[in-house]
Amino acid sequence: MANSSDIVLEVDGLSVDIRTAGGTLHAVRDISFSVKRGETLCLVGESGCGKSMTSLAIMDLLPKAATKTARRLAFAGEDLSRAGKGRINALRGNSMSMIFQEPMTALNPAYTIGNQLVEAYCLHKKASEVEARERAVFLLGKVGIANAAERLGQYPHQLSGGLRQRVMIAMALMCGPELLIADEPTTALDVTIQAQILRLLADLQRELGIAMVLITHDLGIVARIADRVAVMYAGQIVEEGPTASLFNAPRHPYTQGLIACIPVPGRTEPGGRLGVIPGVVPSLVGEVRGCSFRDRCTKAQQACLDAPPVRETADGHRWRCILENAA
Amino acid sequence: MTSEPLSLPAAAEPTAYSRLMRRVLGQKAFVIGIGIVAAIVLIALLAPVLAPHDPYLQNLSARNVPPFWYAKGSWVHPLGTDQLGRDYLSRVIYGARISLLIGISVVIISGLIGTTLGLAAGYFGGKVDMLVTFLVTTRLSMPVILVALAVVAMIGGSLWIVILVLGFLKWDRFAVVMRSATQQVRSLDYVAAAEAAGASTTRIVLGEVLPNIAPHLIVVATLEAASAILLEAALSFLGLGVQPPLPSWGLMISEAKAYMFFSFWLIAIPGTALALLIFAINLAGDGLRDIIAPEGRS
Amino acid sequence: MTALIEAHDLTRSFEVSRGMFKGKRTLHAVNGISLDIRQGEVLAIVGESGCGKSTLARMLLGLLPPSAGAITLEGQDIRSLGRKGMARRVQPVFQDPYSSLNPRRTIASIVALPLEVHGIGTAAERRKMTIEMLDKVGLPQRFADRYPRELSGGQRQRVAIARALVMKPEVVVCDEPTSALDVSVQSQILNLLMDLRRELNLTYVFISHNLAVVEHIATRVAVMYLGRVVELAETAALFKAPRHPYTKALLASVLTPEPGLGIPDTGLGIAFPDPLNPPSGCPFHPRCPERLPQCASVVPQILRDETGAVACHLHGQGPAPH
Ligand SMILES: Nc1ncnc2c1ncn2[C@@H]1O[C@H](COP(=O)(O)OP(=O)(O)OP(=O)(O)O)[C@@H](O)[C@H]1O
Ligand SMILES: Nc1ncnc2c1ncn2[C@@H]1O[C@H](COP(=O)(O)OP(=O)(O)O)[C@@H](O)[C@H]1O
Ligand code: SF4
Ligand code: SF4
Ligand SMILES: [Mg+2]
Ligand SMILES: [Mg+2]
Repeated sequence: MANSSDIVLEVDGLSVDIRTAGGTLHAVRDISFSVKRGETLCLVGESGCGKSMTSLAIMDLLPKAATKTARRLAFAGEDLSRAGKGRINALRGNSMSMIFQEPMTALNPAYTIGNQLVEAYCLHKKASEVEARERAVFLLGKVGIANAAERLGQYPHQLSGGLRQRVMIAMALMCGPELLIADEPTTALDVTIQAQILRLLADLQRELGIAMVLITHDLGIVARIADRVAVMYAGQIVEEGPTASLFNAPRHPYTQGLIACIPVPGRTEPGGRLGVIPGVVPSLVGEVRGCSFRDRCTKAQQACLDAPPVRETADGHRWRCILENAA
Repeated sequence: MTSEPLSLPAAAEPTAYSRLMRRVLGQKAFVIGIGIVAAIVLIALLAPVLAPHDPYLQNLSARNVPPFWYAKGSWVHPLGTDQLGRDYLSRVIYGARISLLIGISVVIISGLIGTTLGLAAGYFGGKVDMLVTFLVTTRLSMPVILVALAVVAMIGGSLWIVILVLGFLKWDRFAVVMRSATQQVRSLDYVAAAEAAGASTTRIVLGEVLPNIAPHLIVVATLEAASAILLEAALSFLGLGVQPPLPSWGLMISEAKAYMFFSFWLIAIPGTALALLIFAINLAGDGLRDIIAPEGRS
Repeated sequence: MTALIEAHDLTRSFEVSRGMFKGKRTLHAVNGISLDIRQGEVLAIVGESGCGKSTLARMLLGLLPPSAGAITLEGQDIRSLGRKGMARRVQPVFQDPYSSLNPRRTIASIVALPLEVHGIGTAAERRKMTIEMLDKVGLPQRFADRYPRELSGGQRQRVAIARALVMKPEVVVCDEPTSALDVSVQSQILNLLMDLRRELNLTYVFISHNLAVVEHIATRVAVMYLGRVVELAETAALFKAPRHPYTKALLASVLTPEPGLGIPDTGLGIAFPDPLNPPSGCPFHPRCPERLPQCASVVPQILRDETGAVACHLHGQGPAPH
């Protein structure tokens, strides 16, 4: 077991509420997790389950209508909920950085990618422009961009989607972050390019010992890249554990259902029926009582009307269900 | 961000209608604007009942009687009389009919022309689009007021001539807005699905495209109606619009200009009526734009 | 199996303007594709974005005229069938369940539109057929008078499928019907499509970039790259023994939820394809790990054999180096 000083990100009891016309929407409900140096944690779940809100809450980038509360939100031992705006700005883009799903929303179309790569570095590291440029060229080379020096003079719109995503990765790595949050970094890309970029990300993460939170809805990506997995449903983490344990012996009915839905060449019978999860996600507006999966759960019973307990095995596999093993 | 599964309608969800009502009532400017417009429309419709006198009846012995709040005023003519002794309140009330008639008729004509051109340009693109763009550019290079002046000066002014001239001149904004709105809708998959279902082009344009761009149409129509009413007033003021003895507000202002310094109300009263109507229509139009803007994907 | 639809040397190009003074360039979205779609099969078309899948689909639906080449339906040129004639036999399901339903119509009116267009039945009969169709795709009657915005993505896609099937077509062209959906919804829609196919004896053209889905649903697969079909084979054969290097890379990129395997190395170069500047010779050569000397200059001809078809210098044109 690594000692506690290895923990880069610690989230305890994080909730995000959003004011809407219809009432308060509980987008994230009391979630806790931590990520160690050199570890990849995947947050996985279907659209609207609160993955992005979680990442934005950590980076302090929530939209105006949203408010967050947390018992503890610590970066490298430092409590972020007590840190001032200035301190968070100093950390963000420096020792904590983020990769977004759509690179065009994060890259400024009016500046060359060189300008954008160099600026943050000079700002945070008080480095000279020459140094910053050198580092930019080095990192662009690392993310597999040939003739990097020329690319520095190009504008974002002159690059293809795959290249832009690589530039985003290079930008996120410029200041040598300890924590990297990647929100659906490859969802907009083609499968071959997705594989290339994920491979690159995994290599860099291992090489630089970064703690990474990778957010995705794709269980395939999760299985291949994560050390640990947290499955989110309706704003809660319903199951969390080491990747192998979670995929080989999922405990929560939702996780089991999700895995059964996916066709796997060589495993599912071509043309056969795929598993389904009946029903739809419940509304998160207003108070949610008991197990939020209960309307769709085939194992639901009277006791599920109360908040289910969190169960745990020795290897740190935890799930939130009244059942010890739903399989 | 797709929030849709979470906002799935449980039975208690507000209906589309009540959501719309809430949004409408949230728009104070719109409610005020549409309230004033509705009041003016009502007054115009009920003019024969509401007007205390015949608006055309001259009484040369009671000329330039001031409104009731002046010492010399009287309740027989609450807003006084004009230079020919006609009851001013009655003329203002009947004047609302003319302004609204102008606004509505001009918008119907220009709306039909502009929407047809805009729909055609946006739906078919290519050569049709080039032709319509050319027509719009040509039209924009001719200042409305000058062309209207020239036409009316040549063939003389009358209510219907003003309506026709303005109607055939003011379609440009309809065409421009409808063109770009149509282009957007045209590229959506439901149009392709209707095409693949075998629907004719007319059916697609009327059944799939038009209902989805109608909100834009309504907004342009309100703004254009206000603009047409003002133009009529300007033309009538210059003596090239509606001809006497019709009680057009612009004409009333024009007829009163000789008395401006002695009987200021003769200008102030139709002027206020005109300003109020234009203000109210613009308020309603702007509010409408805000109400329909957030529609679409939640 | 007999060929229901045949595409002969289909080509579609677009004029793309490149800014104010640069003039126009021609983009070959689909570049000489010949395909047959057989009665009762599920023909998948896979390839990365921009390779021309949707353009091909729109031509097969008769929504977009080809720049060259022709499409025949049971031997008859589809241009002679007319819009209505095509509509009775070939129907689409699109990717985006949001833009594919007219927001101003109710669900029932969306599904009944094809019936109305073809003047089938009285209003009451159409209503009955619509409700039956909605039931078939798993939507209870209470949805009939709702508007699309009140439905979830998966429910909307069911409506789109109901609309496509209400005329009892023979062929349904599905353009990425599940890629905008969550996995749990995707499996529902895939199950539905398979059930309907069995029940109504349908032929599908199934466009997707998800090879796991393709393996599950398709009987034959056409792999596209920059406007061309580079490989065509029965699904099982293609997954067992892919022949084109691009197909191999695609298969290697499938990330199945199997822990411990890590992210595969596709072996591809990093030159991303640009449809406006297609490479000379084999369009795949800048990325191809098995590139031969002639690949940069000579366009590989398509080789058709009993397995299917493949366009690569490694196959055909002399002995394949193995
Ligand atoms: N600005 C906002 N206003 C109101 N509700 C919001 C806002 N942003 C997000 N939400 C809601 O918060 C919940 C969680 O959103 P979030 O974006 O984190 O989901 P997600 O898991 O990232 O989904 P996706 O995979 O679609 O990106 C959803 O119900 C969403 O609709
Ligand atoms: N109407 C159009 N005008 C110009 N280019 C187009 C048009 N439609 C498609 N294209 C281009 O053709 C290529 C193939 O497009 P498409 O068939 O939509 O790809 P896919 O569905 O495989 O993502 C792309 O490069 C696309 O940008
Ligand atoms: S607590 Fe009950 S409803 Fe919830 S997942 Fe477990 S068995 Fe199902
Ligand atoms: S023709 Fe050459 S470059 Fe193209 S796929 Fe075959 S081996 Fe690779
Ligand atoms: Mg998200
Ligand atoms: Mg497409």
